[in-house]
Formats: sequence, structure tokens, C-alpha cells
Amino acid sequence: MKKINLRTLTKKTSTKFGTIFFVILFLFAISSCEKDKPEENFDFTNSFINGVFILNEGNFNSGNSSLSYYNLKTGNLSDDVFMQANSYKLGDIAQSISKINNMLFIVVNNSNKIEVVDAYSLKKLFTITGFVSPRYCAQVATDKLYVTDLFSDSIAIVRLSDGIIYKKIACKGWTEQLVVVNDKVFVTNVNTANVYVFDADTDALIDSINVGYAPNSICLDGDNNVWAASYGNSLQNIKATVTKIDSKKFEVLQSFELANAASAICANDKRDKIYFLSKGVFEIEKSATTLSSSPFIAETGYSFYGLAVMPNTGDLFLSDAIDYIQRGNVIRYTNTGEKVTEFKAGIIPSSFYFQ
Amino acid sequence: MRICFVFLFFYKFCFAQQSITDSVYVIKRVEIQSGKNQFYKKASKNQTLDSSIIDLQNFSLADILNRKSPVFVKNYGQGALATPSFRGTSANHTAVVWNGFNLQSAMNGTFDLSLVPAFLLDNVELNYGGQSALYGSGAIGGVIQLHSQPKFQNDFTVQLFASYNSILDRMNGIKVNYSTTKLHTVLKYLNQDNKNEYQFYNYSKPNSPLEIQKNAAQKSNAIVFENYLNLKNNQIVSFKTWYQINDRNIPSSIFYNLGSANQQDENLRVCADWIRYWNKTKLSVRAANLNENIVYEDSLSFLKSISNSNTSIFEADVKREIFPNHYLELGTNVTYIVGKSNGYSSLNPSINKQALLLSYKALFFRKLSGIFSARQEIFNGKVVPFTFSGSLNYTILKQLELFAKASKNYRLPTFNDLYWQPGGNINLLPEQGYCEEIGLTYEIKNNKNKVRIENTLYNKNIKNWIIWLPQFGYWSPQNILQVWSRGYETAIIGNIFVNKVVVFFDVRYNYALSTNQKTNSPNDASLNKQLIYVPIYNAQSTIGFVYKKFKIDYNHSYTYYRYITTDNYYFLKPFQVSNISASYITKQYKSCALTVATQVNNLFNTEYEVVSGRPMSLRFYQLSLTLKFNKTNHEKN
Repeated sequence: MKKINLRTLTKKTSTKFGTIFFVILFLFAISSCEKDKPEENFDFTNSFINGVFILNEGNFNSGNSSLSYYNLKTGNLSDDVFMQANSYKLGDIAQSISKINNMLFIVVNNSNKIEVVDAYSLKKLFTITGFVSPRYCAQVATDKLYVTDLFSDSIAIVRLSDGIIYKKIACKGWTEQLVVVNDKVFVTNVNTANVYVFDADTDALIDSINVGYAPNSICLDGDNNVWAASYGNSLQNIKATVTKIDSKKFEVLQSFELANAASAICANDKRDKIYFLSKGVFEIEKSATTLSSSPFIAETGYSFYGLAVMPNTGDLFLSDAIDYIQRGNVIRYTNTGEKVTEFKAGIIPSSFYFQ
Repeated sequence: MRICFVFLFFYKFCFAQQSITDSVYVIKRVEIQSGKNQFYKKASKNQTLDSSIIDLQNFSLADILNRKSPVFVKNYGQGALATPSFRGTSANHTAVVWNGFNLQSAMNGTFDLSLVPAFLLDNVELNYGGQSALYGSGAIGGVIQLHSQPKFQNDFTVQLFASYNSILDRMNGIKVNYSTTKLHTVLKYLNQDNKNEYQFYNYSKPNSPLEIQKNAAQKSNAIVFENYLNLKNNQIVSFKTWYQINDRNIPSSIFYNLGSANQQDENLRVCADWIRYWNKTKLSVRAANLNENIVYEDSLSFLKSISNSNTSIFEADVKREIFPNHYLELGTNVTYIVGKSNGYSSLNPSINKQALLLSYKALFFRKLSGIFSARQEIFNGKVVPFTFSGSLNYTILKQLELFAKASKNYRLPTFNDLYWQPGGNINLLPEQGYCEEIGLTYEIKNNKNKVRIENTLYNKNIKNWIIWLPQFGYWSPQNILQVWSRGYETAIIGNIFVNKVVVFFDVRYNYALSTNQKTNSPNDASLNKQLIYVPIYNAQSTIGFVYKKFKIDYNHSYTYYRYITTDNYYFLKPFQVSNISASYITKQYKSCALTVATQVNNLFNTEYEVVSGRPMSLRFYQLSLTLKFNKTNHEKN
């Protein structure tokens, strides 16, 4: 048997070139990967009283949802403040954030829970579990919290004093945003064309109001009227709509049709102006009877996903999720539609809370 | 010398009746007789995995590709969905060709490698790089060839197989192989009952507790039945069936705390072919029917999705040696696919494809050979971009060979892309791209030793790459991305005799840069960034030895960072996994021999995940027994 001299083999040009190439590439890769680690940016002097919380949904099943805080005074963005305060990750798909009694309720949709933290230190107080696919929550009475759900065909009711789900109201479909006025709870159901009305004391379904197919967001104006925005259904030629409802009579007062899906409806802090997204930002006075045909802020190079109005200044904060698999952008406009600043947030920034 | 080498190379296709003295005559005939994958072997860089199929009989095709090849296998957990990615391309850019027919799903274009048990396979070969000219839509990154051929010799073997492991999986199988000079029939049956209770650290919870997976149990039954007839006038007729049913519980990601989903995959694949050859011509007529049924249930979201696709393929081609060592092939393919799914609502979409293939293979002088192919396809009445491929092989020295190739490849949109309600986009264009490749191979061998060193550089530009984006209430696919994929692959493979021991090794190192070259909005930070789930580096090595009836091998692989966001901000850490196997074959007693094999998987108990939220198994042990009864009248190969 002839023995093969491996040493002479390795001296062949092709492998030599290969080794040098590999070493160079390896060094290059090592140096570049250092820069790719996410920057740890946590401002410990933050008392979370002069800025805005930005809730980033994250990617499905990646567990990379996060809560960011943008300091309006310094212009500094702190990433993942929940993780920094509590040493564990927020979870999968952080859907909404609400403030109740100096606590922040963060609904983490795909982790089936609500994380309740102190609004000023962000330290976790307790976690509410037992949900299927929770979306939004609202305090409907002193000790009662309603939580809407994507899959369970029901609305969960939680006792705020101990964080336990004690009852479920049957409601077929995808219940989404909700608003409370005069002990009545108005809930949008995205699989239908309805806003459902529940009695906050008895939890009974009182009425349903047709607001156009797929109502996804809801808010209250200064006259205690309820506004709902619907996607419509372009495949079935059902137009998107924005509807104003009388909260006492449960009647539609105004209905505006839009060319593109409407979402993210909200009011300014004075509650005299209503804003929503429909391939651009639209603004409408609470008592207006007509809607301008073109947006107040056009989408130029952006694809707006989330919207919120800053108290006092009336500035608008918008988010752009880009391709939904990278960090999104947050853009701030003045109340006259001029761009002020723009910065990177987490993955799919969708909700804002000013504090 | 070269003629003899080529003769040995095509040994499998020789028949006992042929005379060995007229070797030149036999070579040409053998060339004509060889299957499509053998005839076009030099049209791409290849890797044969036949021996791995035997060594890793108790594993799936996903595990084999993972351990032995640079193909990045996107594994969603132990025994779960596993899709292949060649050279930084996506899961639907790899064609999986079974006896010449592409098994990629008509619905989403992917193929689940974890559903193919190695026990059912005979020959597995990987073709690197685009092959659309030969195999049509979907072969952009590479092709995984699964095929089997007849052996018309007097032989009767029965193999009984059983395998058990420490994560409570059980596998039992039987293989019966009967052949004469006129007939060859193979029957394989495999039953699996896997509790799949693997261990992992749940890092979504504080302190990463050690947990046992309880939601990933799987059951499956599979039958493969293949028949070949060796008829007079140089005709071979074959009829093959592969029926398999899998019932799998799919655990949710570790971030979702409730229950799991369940998926049933039922596949019936049938193919038949008739080949007739003359001195310089071969005529082949083939047909196949592939039926795919998937039932997916998620009790918590009250979702039950039933999908079905049925594909009928008819192919005919004629190969002729027009001048000495110059071959021309003309082929045609007609495909009809019907799909049904709640996702397509009331639509029962169908696809009608016709293709014409022209191919020319030649040996110029003695050292230069080339293969040039062109394909034109018509998809639902619309003409698809013309594709071609041209490759050259030049023997610089006896041991040194140069390979160069350029090709244009494409992928047609699938049923889900076109017809999913809501969101399906019937105006989608096919994805297409140009690929170039150059390789240098050095091989030295003598009687019993062989060492082979391969180096390959490749470059690919794919445009109109389809991605799904949300539109408000629903997602919709669009031709958006433009991807530039380039890289370098090197391998050193061989076996060496040291006294009475055969030492074998297979070491591979791969570099793949695959970046997005086009963005639609100015604040999109994914421009020039690496695609998600494409590790820039990966390496695999297997080293072992055989001593008499005892064999042991050690396998080690390394996978670099995988980005999980397109701006490369979030990533998964690199990992290394090792496995060790040992087997022993007992003495033959009354024509029976027993092989006992044991494996330790994830030897160093590495905590790792390939896909975010889906940790892989910690260390587990395996034992398998094969009892082989052999009544052959010939000397074994």
C-alpha cells in the first residue's frame, strides 16, 4: 500500500490560498460582529416623567418585544426598559399599554399574559395569566378590568385587587380596542362590522352598532361621542370607514368613507380633534360633518403603523414598521404637520404612552 | 486508463450480459443508459451521501444534511420542520427531486426534510447551484436528488431494523430486496412511534429551567415499493410508489405558554417509466402523480386547515450520441397541478405547465468537456423567462480539474403566493437570477487511498424575490427583494489505509454572504445587510475509522451567528454540536448478520437553537439493531 504524504498535499497552492483567505475572512468577521451587538442604552437618571413610552411588538415567536422610553427633554432613547428594570424579557408580541392607578398594564399577546409594573420605576408588581390571546384592556369599574382577545371568542374580566380572571363574557370573533364612557364599554370586533356595547356593572351585552367592516380602533371625544375606525375589505369592495357614535343613544351620528383602510384612531388631550391613519394622517374636528379627501400628513416614503398625540403640544408621534422584520422608525411631527425628528425604536413600534 | 476509470464509475448501470472486452462500446452505451442525474453529473458541484444513508439509518434526511453538508438546515426543533437552504437562498429555492420529479410543495414551494426517513432512501446526491435548465422552477440554490436504480442480478435480502433512543423514540422497519436478471423488486416498510421527549433549557423563563418537551410526539407509517423489469430489446420498465403518513404534535415556541398544534401529512407519490435504448440512442417516457394532503389543527385558536395538492407530470426525452462523445438531448415536460385549501376559499386553483428542454453534452479533445442546457417553460399560458446553463470541466493535470459554470434560474410563484385569500397576488412575476461558479478539485488516489480537495467560488444575483408584507388586516406577497449571494466552499475528503485500519474524513468549511440589494423606502436599514437565517460561516467535519467489523466516527459542526432581523440588529448566537457513533457487525451465521449501532447525539450537551424560540435537544443516546439475511448468488459489491 502506498502511503500518501499529507504534508505535501497541504502545501498545494489551492489549499494554501484557502487557508489565508479563511484567516482574513475570519478576522474580518470577528471585527464586524462586535459592532453588531445591540447597544446597551439605559439612562439610569430617567424617572420616566418627561417622555413617551414606545411599545414594540417584536416578531411572532421571537420573544423580542420591548418597551422603549424616549426622553423628550434630552432626546435620548432607552431600549428595553422593562428588561433593564426586571432582568427578564417582556415576552412575545407586546400589544398594548394602559395606565391604571399609577400602574402600567402591558398586554403581551403571544405570551398570554399582562405584565403590571409600577409606572415610575417600571418594577414588576404582578403578572396576570390565564389568557388565550389577550389584546387590549380597560378599567371599567373600580375593581374590574376587561381584557379583549383574538382567539378565545370572549372578553376576560379581571379583579384588579388580586389580578385573577374570575369571569368571561362570550363574544364571538376578534375583540380588539375598547373605551369606557358612562359605565358602558364600547368594544370593536374586527371579524364583524360591529362595535359591541356592554354594561360595565352587569357585564351584559346591551347593543351592537354597525360601523363598517373590521373596526379596529376606538376613542372618545370631548362631547363623549365614540369614534371608531374600520379597515373595510378591499377584496369585497367594502369601503373603510370612520364612524362617530352617540354614546347614550347608541346611534351613528356621522360616517365617513375612506379610500384606504383606516386605523389607529385617537384624540388629542383637549379631545377636540380626532386623528387616524388611512395611508397618511387625517385630522378632523370633533363636530365636523365633512372630512377632507386628502391626509393632513401624507405618507412620503413611510408606511405609518402607529399614531399618538402628545399632550400639551399636540405634536404627533408616528411609527413606521418598514418591513416588519427590522427595527422600526418613530417620527415626530408638529401639530401643523412639520417633521421635527426621527429615530429608531424596537421591532414594530406600535403603541405610545406619554408620561 | 481513463476509459477504465469511467467504466468503473458507471458500474451500476452495467448489465451482466455485456462483454467487458468491448469497453469503448460499453462506455457509450452506459453513458446513454445512465439516469438523468448521472448523465448530467458534471453539470454542477456534487456531493454523494449514500454511505451516510446507511450509517444514519435511524435519522431523517434533515439530520444527514445537517451533519454532512454545508446546506443550512433550518430546524424548528428536534424532529420538527426542517427546510434546506443552499448558498444563502431561501427554503423554496431548493428542489428535492425524486427519481426525476420535483417534490417541492405546489402550495408553498418548500419541502420538509424531517419527513424523509433515511431508512427509505437508496441514493442521495446534492447538486450545488442553480439547475433550473434541467429541473425547472425552484432549483435556484441547489438540488437534492433522491433516486434508486435497478440491480438485475440474483439476490434476495431481508433486513429487519429496530431503533430506540433516550428521548423515547421507537422505530421499526423491514426491507425486502428480491432480484433476478429480469426483475428487481424492493419493499420497505417503516413504523415510527416517537414520544420525542427531549430536554432543553427554557430561556424565556427566569433562571432558564431545564424542561422536558411533552408536546412534540410523532407517529408515522411509510411504505416504499419499487419494481423494475428488464425486458428484451433493451427495455427497462419501472414502477415506484412511496406512501407515507405522519402525525405530529407541534410544540409552540417557548414564548407561548399554552399547548400545541397538530399536523398530519399524508403523501402518496407514484411514478413509472419506460426506457428503451439502442446503440446510440435512448428514449425515456416517464409519468408521476404526487398527492399531498395536510391537516393542521390548533385547538387554542380554533383553527383547522385542510390543504391538498395533486400534481401530475408527464415527461419524455430522447438522448442521442450524434458524434463520438457528443450527445444531444431533447425533452419535454407537461405538468398539471390542482390545489384545494380553506386558504384559497372557494377557488380550486390549478397550474398548467409545459416545458421544452434542449441539452448538449460533449467531450472536446481529451481534457475539456462541457454541458449546455436550455429550457423554455410556459406557465398558465404565459411564457416564463428563458433559462439556460452552461458548464465546462477542464482536466488541467491528471489530478487537477477546473470547473466553471454560468446559469440562469427561476422560481414560479406557488398556489399560496397567487391564490391565498386574502392577500394572494395573481400578478406576481417569477423570481429569477444569474449564477456563476468556478471550482478547482484536486484528487490523488491509488489502490486503497484517496484524498480529494475541493474549492468552489460562487456568485448569484436574484431579483423579484417574493416576500410577504402586511397590508392592514392581511398580508400579501410582492416581488421586492434583490439578493446578491456569493461565497466560498472548501472541502477535504478522503480515506486512508493505516495498517489494517481505514481512516476516513470529510471536512468542510463554507462562507456565504447573502445580502439584500434593494430597498423601497429611505429609512429601510436592510440595504446591504445579510438575509435573516443565513449564517455567514458554517463548517462540518466527520472523522472516523473502520477496523474489521468495527466502525466509529466523530462528527462536529459549527454554525455562525444568524440574524433574525433584516437590519441585522438582533441575532442568535453561534453554536457547535458534536455527535459520536459506533457500530459493530457480527459474524455471519446461516446467511444472517447482525449490526449493532449506538450513537450519542449532542455529545457535549450544548444548549442551542437554530430558529428563535425553538431550542434543540440536549444530549440523547441511541441504539439500533439491523438483522440482515442475505441469499445472494453473486459476490457482494
